[in-house]
Amino acid sequence: MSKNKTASPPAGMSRRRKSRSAWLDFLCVLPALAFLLVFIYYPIVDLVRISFTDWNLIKPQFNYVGFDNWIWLFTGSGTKYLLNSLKVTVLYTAGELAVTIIGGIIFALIFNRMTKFFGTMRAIVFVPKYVAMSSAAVIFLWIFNKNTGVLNYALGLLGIAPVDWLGDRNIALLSVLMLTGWRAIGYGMMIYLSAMMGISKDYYEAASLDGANAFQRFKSITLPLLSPTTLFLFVTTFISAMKVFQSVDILTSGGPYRSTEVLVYMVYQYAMRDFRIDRAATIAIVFFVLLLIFTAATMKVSNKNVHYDS
Amino acid sequence: MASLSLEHIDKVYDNGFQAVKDFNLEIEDKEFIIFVGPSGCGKSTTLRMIAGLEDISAGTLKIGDRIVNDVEPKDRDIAMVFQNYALYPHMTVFDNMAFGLKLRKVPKDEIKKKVLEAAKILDLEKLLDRKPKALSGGQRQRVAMGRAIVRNPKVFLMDEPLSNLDAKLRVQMRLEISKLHQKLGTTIIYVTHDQTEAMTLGTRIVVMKDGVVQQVDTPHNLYHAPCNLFVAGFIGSPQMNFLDAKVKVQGKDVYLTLEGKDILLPADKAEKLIAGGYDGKTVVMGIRPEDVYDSQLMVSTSHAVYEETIRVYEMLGAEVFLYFDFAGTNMTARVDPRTTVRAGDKVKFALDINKIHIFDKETERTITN
Amino acid sequence: MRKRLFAVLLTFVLCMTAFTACSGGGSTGISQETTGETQAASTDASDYEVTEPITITWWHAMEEQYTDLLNEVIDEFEASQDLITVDAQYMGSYSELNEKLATAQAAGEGLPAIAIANTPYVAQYGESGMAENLDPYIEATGFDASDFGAGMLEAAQYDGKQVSLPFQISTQVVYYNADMAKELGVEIPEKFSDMTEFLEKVSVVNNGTTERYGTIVPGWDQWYFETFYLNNGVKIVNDDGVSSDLDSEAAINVASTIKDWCDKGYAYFATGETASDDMRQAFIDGRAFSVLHTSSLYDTYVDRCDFEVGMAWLPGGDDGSKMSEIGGNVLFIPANNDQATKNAAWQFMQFLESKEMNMKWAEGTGYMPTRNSVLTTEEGQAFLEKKPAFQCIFDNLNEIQPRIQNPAWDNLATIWKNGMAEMINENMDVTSSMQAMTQEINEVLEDQ
Repeated sequence: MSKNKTASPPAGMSRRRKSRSAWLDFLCVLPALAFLLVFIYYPIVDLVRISFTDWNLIKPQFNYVGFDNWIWLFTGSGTKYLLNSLKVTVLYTAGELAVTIIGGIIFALIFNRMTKFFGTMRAIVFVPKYVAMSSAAVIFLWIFNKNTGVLNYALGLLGIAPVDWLGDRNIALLSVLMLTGWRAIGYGMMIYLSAMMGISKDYYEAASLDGANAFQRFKSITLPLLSPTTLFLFVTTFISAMKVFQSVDILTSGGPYRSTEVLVYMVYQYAMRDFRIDRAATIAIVFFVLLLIFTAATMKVSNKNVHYDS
Repeated sequence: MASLSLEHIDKVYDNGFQAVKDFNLEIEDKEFIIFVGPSGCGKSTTLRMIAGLEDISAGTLKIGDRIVNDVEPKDRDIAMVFQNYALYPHMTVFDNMAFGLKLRKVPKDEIKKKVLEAAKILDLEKLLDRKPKALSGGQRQRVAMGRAIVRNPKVFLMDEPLSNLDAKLRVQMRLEISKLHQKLGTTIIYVTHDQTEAMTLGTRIVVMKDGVVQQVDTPHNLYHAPCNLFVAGFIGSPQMNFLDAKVKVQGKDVYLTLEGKDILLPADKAEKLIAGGYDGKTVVMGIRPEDVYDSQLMVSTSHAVYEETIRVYEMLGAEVFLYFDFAGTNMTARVDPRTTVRAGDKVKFALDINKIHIFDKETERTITN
Repeated sequence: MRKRLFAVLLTFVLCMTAFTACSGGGSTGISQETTGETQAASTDASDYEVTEPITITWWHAMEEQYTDLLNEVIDEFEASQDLITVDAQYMGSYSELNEKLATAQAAGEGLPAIAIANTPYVAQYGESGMAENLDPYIEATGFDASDFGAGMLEAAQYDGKQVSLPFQISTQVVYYNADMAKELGVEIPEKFSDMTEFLEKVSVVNNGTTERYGTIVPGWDQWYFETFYLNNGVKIVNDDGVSSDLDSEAAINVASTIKDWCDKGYAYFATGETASDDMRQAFIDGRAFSVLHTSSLYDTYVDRCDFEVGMAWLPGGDDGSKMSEIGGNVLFIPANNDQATKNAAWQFMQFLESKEMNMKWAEGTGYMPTRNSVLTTEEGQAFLEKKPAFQCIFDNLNEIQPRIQNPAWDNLATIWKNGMAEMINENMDVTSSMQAMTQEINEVLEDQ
């Protein structure tokens, strides 16, 4: 493999032209860079600053109070809420990961044939992804209704007692996951399907001859060759799952008894209910750092276990 | 090691297209059988049917005494080398070769022994820890073969294994495969579209066209006694020259009228033409380039001498080919490289009548064999 | 080398922009200029006149059913004078409206000229200076604020300053099926301690399944059961402002009683996102004899129920205390606008706050008349004839108290209602529940 020299002007260019060319390149990137700086990097840095203040959203004055908020969050009365939120968020994320990745692979395997019928089935599974989360959440709110919801009605037809989908602290998170899963399965399926179609049939034929049955072919060929896709889905789903908010806000408002109070919802409560932007900022930064650490760790692990087909 | 037999094998696809028609073949132990033919002739399809990767539409396939039509590929005790090698990209060379054995639950140390053995034969010992993407084409090809060898199968199937290699490497590998065949002593069924490979490697060659077997014979016989126009034209490079000629029977003598001259045919060929009732009919005469001479000796002793202008002069080192127009077609003659003639020169050519083949113009079958 | 230099430079620039965002740095930063507080409080009427044509925005939370009435009112205002036009914008629920106001305030721009605010927000808006102090306006223009129900006016103040005016006012009431009440020959009890017996009479419980609830207690907003505590000797927030007495004997008593109703099936504690709709439906369908709800929904209930809807005052303490808390919303003028806008807003506010407009709202919606004098006027009588159930409100207008003001109130309320819900729905021990809950609340109160 030849070493890739990115973005260098041609070797034959004169020094003067090279610097002008570099300057031009910079100008082209400037608008996007400016956008990133102003709307993404600057707010993040500012959040750090805010976490050292006692700023109330609707009051113009604030003071720098050092580590007060950090102490509150890690050793004070805020700790138990933080731990609860972390637990809920991690559980939720694990759930969404499982549905997207495992559910996605299963459905991709099921619908892997190119017939019209399968095409329609795939479309049906995938359509929920197109429905906006808020709209879907409002509808699911009524589907899950303990007394008048369609779900309990259907269960009733089967002779099963009504379930308090959104009011039972052990089930609420599951219900939120059901909404997510309904949308995520189709997405996972499509991503895996397109990756599966990129796997050459030859490998399967060679494996057949080597003596592999369907399950062994799946385990030894499909799964490893899908590992780049799995990595992609893992990282993107993890990050978006950790950031879940809309479904929780509409379905449960963090309840019952904080059993669905995810990190972002907690930040929202502090910011908008209590107007304590300083505390919200502190939590947000912890969240941000967590995600960074996780992504770095995943990348490291993936180097060994992800196989890219040449 | 058992023999293999294909009886009345057909392959018809769902859309009605018939890829293989009535394929019959008995393969003996240790043979090196080649399926050769142009693209789309059904050779790969037949190979895949033997492997079990395609369903057999009709007919019986036997490995040894066992009918294996419905037997799973893995239970047929065969190994296959794919055109694109199909090496598992996420496994090392060692794991690639060990895969089949692992699946069969062979104990670890035995796997190691077998893989190392195969690696030794194929000179892969230093590459065992690499992944396929870090190997060259030739190395990959050897790994693919190693994967097959390790299984110690009854039959080796090879689907155009050399077609992805450059010319020099191809020649080299041909040699290797030949040696391998001698060393391992297994039955090999080999598919190629390259007639040179076929001729050099095979003990017996199956020439196919459009799903139909044209001729099954040794390389020698295919070359010298092709049974039809297609085989005659397919085997041998450069291709045999084909000319239309009219048959004239006069008593016991048979003449071919070619470009105004009547050429007397030798007795054995004459008989066949009389018996076939070809008097007055046009037939196709085939003559190989090496049987078209420009030497003084031949010119003076043959009565099939023609003078033509050379269009193209091709110098290949040890051979020279001269191309000229004759009887409405392009003729190729292989001549002594020391010749001094060049394009544009007028040269006298002599055809070696004893070596010509005569084909029926409609059925395209050889009349004179 | 160059790369490093560039990276260092970039980081430096970023840090600079971060810290210079606050003018003045050091230990105190001021993110925007304070207005209102530092302005001279003029009482000269001419300072509050509107002299040029202006269009003002009005942010409100009135849903569809009020649109026609809203437009009527605006049309009337615009017809009554020729300088000010009003652009009324629906901002969503009270909490959504709050969010938008808060972010506009923090951004320093985008605030409307005049806005509604749910009564609990008065304290915070007042304290932060977000709401303009209306005392100078009232004095300068001679607006008569004395006729409002006393509690109402106080509820719209912060620290003695009139930072808003009561607008659409409601309070807690018991809606009951008047037809069924006549049949059964019952009346809503005046004392909380009589409730259990009463509920037993009016509920229908068969073999552990409730066919008809005596009442339903809304658990999604502590406002609905707060007065039970307040009238029975519980302060909720102690005078020191940093501790709660929800673990006192009195509080535990109240909580146990409510739990008792639910355990026996006479009532249930309603929680969840759809609890309000479910509760209304239960009442309309006749599956509940009564519900505890807000008086502002009177018209809605009357429209939907095919029986006579009665309204009763919430049962009070044994000592006769029967205060209720104010609900609904106030009107305020955001302080961070220029004086011309504020003047126009004040003009409009006076119009909206007039006795006539108030009656119009009261007639067209379930919100109540806010003027003491109404009780004695013809209009008041005519109103009562149309909505006889409002008698209980008229009788108790001065019992309506302001909300408890505390910076950590929202947090406290969340913990409280969660605690109640958990205790009742998960059948936990009342005493230890209330104690644990109070401990959590105390932490929050101390920590603010």
